[in-house]
Amino acid sequence: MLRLGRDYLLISGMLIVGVVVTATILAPFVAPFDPTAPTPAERLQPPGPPYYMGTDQLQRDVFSRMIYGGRIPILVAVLSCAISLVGGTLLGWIAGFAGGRLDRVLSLVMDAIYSFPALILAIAIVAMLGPGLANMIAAIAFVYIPTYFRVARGQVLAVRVQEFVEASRALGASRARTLFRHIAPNTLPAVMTVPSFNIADAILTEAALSFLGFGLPPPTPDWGFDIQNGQKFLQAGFWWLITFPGLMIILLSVGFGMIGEGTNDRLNPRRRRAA
Amino acid sequence: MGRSRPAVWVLLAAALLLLAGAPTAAPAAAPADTLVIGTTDKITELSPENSYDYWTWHVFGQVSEALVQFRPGTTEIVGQLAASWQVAADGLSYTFRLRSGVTFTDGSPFDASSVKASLDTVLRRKGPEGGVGLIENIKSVEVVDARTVRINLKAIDATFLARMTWGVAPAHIYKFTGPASEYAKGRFVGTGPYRLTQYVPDQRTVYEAYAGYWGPKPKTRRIITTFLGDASALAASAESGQVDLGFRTFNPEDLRRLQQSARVTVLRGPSLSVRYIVFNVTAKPFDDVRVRRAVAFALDRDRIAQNVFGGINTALYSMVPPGLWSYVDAFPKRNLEQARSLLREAGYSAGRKLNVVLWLTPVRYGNTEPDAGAVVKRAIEETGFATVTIRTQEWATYTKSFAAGEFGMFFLGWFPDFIDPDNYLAPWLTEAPEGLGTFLNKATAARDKQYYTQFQQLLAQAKATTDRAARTRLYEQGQRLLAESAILVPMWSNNLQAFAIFQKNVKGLVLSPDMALRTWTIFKE
Amino acid sequence: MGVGRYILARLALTVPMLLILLSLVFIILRILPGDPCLALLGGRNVTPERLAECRELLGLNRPLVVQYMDYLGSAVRLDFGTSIRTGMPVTEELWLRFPATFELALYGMLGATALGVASGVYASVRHDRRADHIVRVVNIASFSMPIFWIGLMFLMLFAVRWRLFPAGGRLDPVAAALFTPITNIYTIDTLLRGDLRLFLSAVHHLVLPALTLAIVVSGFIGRMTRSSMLDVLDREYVTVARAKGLRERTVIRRHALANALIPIVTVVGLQFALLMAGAILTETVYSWPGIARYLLESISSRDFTAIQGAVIFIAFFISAVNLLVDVFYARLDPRIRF
Repeated sequence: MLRLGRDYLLISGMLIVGVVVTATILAPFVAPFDPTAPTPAERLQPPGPPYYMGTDQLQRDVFSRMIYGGRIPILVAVLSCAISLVGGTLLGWIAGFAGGRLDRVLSLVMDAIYSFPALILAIAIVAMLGPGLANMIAAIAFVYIPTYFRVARGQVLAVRVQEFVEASRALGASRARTLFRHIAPNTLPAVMTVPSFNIADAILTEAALSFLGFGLPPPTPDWGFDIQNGQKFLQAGFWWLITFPGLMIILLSVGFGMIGEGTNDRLNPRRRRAA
Repeated sequence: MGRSRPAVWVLLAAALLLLAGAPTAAPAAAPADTLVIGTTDKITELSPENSYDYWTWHVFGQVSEALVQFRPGTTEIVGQLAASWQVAADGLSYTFRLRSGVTFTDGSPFDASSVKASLDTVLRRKGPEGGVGLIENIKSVEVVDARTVRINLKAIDATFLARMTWGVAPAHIYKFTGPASEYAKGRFVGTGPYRLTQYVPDQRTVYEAYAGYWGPKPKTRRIITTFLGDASALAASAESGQVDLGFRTFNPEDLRRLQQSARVTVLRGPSLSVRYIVFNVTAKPFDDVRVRRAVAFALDRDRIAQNVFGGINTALYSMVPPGLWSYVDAFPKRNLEQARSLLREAGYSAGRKLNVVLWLTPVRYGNTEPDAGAVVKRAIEETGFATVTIRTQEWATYTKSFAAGEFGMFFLGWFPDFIDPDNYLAPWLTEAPEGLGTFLNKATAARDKQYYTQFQQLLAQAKATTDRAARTRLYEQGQRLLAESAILVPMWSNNLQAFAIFQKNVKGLVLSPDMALRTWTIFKE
Repeated sequence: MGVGRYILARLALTVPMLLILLSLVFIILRILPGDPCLALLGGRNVTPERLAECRELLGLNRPLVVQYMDYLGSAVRLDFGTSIRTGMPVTEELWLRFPATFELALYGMLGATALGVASGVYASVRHDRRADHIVRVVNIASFSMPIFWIGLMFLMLFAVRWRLFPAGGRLDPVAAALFTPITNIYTIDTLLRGDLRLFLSAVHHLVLPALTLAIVVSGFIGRMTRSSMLDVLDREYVTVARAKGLRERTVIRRHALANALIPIVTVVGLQFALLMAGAILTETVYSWPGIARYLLESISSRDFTAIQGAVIFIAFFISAVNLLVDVFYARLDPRIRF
C-alpha cells in the first residue's frame, strides 16, 4: 500500500511521469497547434495566449513542440532500457551461475564498459553508426548493459548458495532449470529497482545526444534538439526557446528519479532514529 | 537549524567572494597597438599543402604572399610578389618579373629560386587533405634569372592566374625551415606583413608585424586571434569589447540585433559563398528532369531567407553568385502551379504522391541547417503532390554517401577555390560529377546525356579563351542551361560569413569579394 | 600484504580492463562505417585516385589485424600518432588540453563535494522532517538536470543578461597571449607568476563552468552522504558520544561524519566517470579548450588517431583515479588490511 506521508517521493514521481507520458501520448488532443507547421503568429513571439510558451523562428508554437517533444526521449529511454534490462540481466544470470572463466571474462568486460563515461561511449557509437532512432537506442542500450549485469550477477551469487537452490539441484534439476526456475526469479526484485533511475539517466543521455546533433532529423520535435535550436537565440534574448525544453527534460527525469528513490525507500526502509 | 549552518555559511561566503571578485576582473581593453580578433572558425593543419579550409588559409594569408592578388575590393588581378607578367602566345607558359627588395620574415632574400623551391615542394609533398589539386596544372617552374621565373602549364587554362592569387594557400611562396612533419608547428616563413609568433590549438594565434616588410607597414603591431566555441560566445565577446573585431560566424539573430546597437559597427562584405541542392541524375526519380525542375519551382527561397536567416542571407537564383562577372538571374521564381503541372506531367498527383528523401548534414553548415531543411520540405510538400522525408548524416559519412551515389537529393555549400565563374559550374558538371554527387557523366536519361555533352563543350570552350567578353557569354549560357536542366538548384547566398562586427575605434577594415580578412590595413584609434 | 603489493594487485586488474577498453574503441572506430579520408577530402573534387592516395598515407588499407596490433603497441607507448585533422602529434595535443579539463574537473569536484556533503549532512540531521524532504528532492533534481542546459541558462543569466561573468574561454585573450603558462593549470600558474589580476581573471572564467559541473554531480554525493550518515547516526558510538554530553555539532562532525566519509570518498572517486561525461557538455557550452571538446571535434571529422588517443587517455585517467580511490579507501577503512 502506498501512503502519502511515507511514499511521497514515489507518489509524486508517478504523478509527474503519468501526466507527462499521458500528455505525450495524447499529444494530438493536448497540443493546440501542429508542432511542425508555422502558425499565423509572428516568428519569435514571446509567451502569451494563445502561444503559451511563445513561437520559434519558424513561427511554430513552442508549447505544442514541448508536448510532442517528449515522444522521442520517452521512446528512446524506455526501449533502450528494456533492451539493456533483458540483455544485461541475462548475461548477469549466466555469468553468476556459470562462474569460472566465462564469469571472469564477462565481468571484466562489463567493468571496463562501466568504468567509462557512458555519454562519451554513446556519442562515439552514434557518431560512427550515424544519427537516427535505432542507432540512438542501440548506443544507449549498449552503455547501460553493465548496470543490469552487475546487479543480476551479484544477486545470483547471493541466491545460488541458498537452501532451496541446493535442494533443486540435489533433486536432479537441469542447470538451465535451476537457473531460470529457482535462481532468476529471486534476483528480479533487486534488478527491478534499477530501471527507473536508468530511464531518468537515459532521458538525459538522449537529450545530450540530440543536443549535440546526433538525434532525429528535423522537423521532428525533440527537447534536446530544441535546446540546441534555442542556443542560437541565447544572445538575442529569446529566452523561452531554451528554457522550456530544459524544464520539460528535468520534469520527466525528476519524475523517474523520484520513482526510483521511492522504490528504494520501500525496499530498504531506513531504520528510524531513536527519538 | 543550528547544526550544519557553518557549511552553508562557508559556501555562501565563498559565492559572495567570487561574485565580488567578478567586476574587478572585468576584461581590460587591449592596447592600441594590439588588435584582438574573435572567430568560431578553426585551424586544421598549419601546412600549405595539406589544408583546405578558410581559417587555416587565412593564417597563410597573413604571413605569406602569392605572385598575384585580387586588388582589394575587386575581382581584378594585379601583381603581388610579381611586378608584371607575360603570357606566351600558346597560353601554356607564364613569365613573371619579380618585385625586388623582398625578404622572408626570417630576413633571408626572396628571388626566382624561392618561387621554384616553394612551388616544387608543395606540388611534390601534396597532402591527402590539401588543396594542391588547384595548381596541379603546373608542369614545371623554371628560373630564368634571379628576378624572372617562368611557369609552364600542362594544358591551356584561362583560370590559371585566378588559381595563383593570394588566398590560394598552395600557390603562396614559402621558405620551408623544417621537415614536413613539423609544419604544424609553423616551421615555414613567408614574405608577409606578419610573422606567426604563437599558435595554441583551439585557443589562439598571435602575429607580430615584420619590420622588414617590403610593402606598406602593417597598421597594427600585434594581432591576437582568439578561437571561440560558438556563435553566441562570439557575439557576446564582440559586444562586450573582449574582442575588437569578430569575424565568421555570427548567428543571424545576433547580427540583426547588433546592427541596431550603438556600441559596435556591423559591416557586411560581398559574399561569393553559395548554398544549393544537388540532384543525382542517375537516382530515381531525379533522372526525370521534370521532377528536378518541379523542385526548383517549388522552392521557397524568400521564406528561407526571412525565417531561417532573418533576412541576413538572400535568395539566390543562379549558381554563379551576384557580384561575380557573368551572373544572370537564371532560375525561375517560386511558382507552385508550374511545379504542380511538371509533377503531373511526370505522373504524380495528390493520390499518387512523389516520395523523396532530402539529405542534409547537421553540423558542418552551422546550426541553421535543420531549419532550412524543414522549410524546403514544407515548400515541396505544398505542391500537394509530394512527401519529403529529411534524413541527416554526420559530415564524415555524408561525403562518403553522396560520392557513392547514395543520395538522390541533398544540400551542399560552395566556397570558391578561386574567383572565376568556372569554379561555380565545372566541378559538378564536368570536373568531378561523381565526387560531388551529380553523376552527370553516368546519366541514364537521354536528355541528361545531352546536357552532359553540352556542358562539356561549353565549359571547355570557356576555359580555352582569355577573352573576358567571350567567356562571359559562355558562362551566361551555362547558367541558363543549368536552370533548364536543374541538376543543381541554388537556394541562397551565404552572406553570414561576410559579416564583421567591430568596436567603434577600429578602422581600416576592407572586405573584398574573395571574403578574405586583410588584417594589415586595420588599426585602432 | 604491504601497500605496494596491494597497489600492484590492483594494477594487475587494471591492465586487462584497459585492454578491453582499447579493443572496444578499436571496434567502434574501425569496424563501424565512416571514412576518414572522405571526411577530410570533404565534398571537393574527390577522385578515386586521391582517395586511394589518402588511404595509403593514413595506413587504412592495411589488414585490420596489422592495424590493431599497431594500435595496441602505440597505446602502450602512449604514442597516439599524428592527428589526421591537425597534423600535430595527438599526445602533444592531449597534454596541451588535459590541464584545462583537469582544472575544470578538479574545481567541479570540489564544488560538488562541498555542496553534496553539506546538503547530505543537513538532510540526515533533519531526517524525515521537511528540510530533509526538500533537500532530497533538490538532490534528485540536480542529477536529473541536463548539464548543457544549466550551462546555457547560466550563460544566459550571468554572462548575457547581467554581464557578471565572461561567456567562455579560460583567460582574457590579450592577457592569455602575453602569459606564459607553466603547468597550464591557470589558477596555479597565475599565482606562481605572482599576478593577482590574472589569477582573478582565471577564477572569473572558471566560476560558471565549475559551478555547472558541481551542481550536477553534487546530487549523487548528497544522496550518498545522507544515507551513509543515517547509517552512522544509529551506531552505538554516536549514541555513546551523545550520552557523554558532547555538543551535537561535535558529535556530528567528529564521530558521525568522520565515519561516514569512507563511502563518500568512494562515491566521489567513482563520479569521475560522470564528471568526464559532464565535462564534454560543459566544455562545449563554455568554449573550454579541454580534452572533451577536442574529442567531440575529432569525432565529427572522423579523426581516428585523435579519437583513439583521446578515448584511451580518458580511460587511463579514469583508471588512475579509480586506483587512487581504492588505495585511499584501503587507508581509510581499518577493516582492509594490507
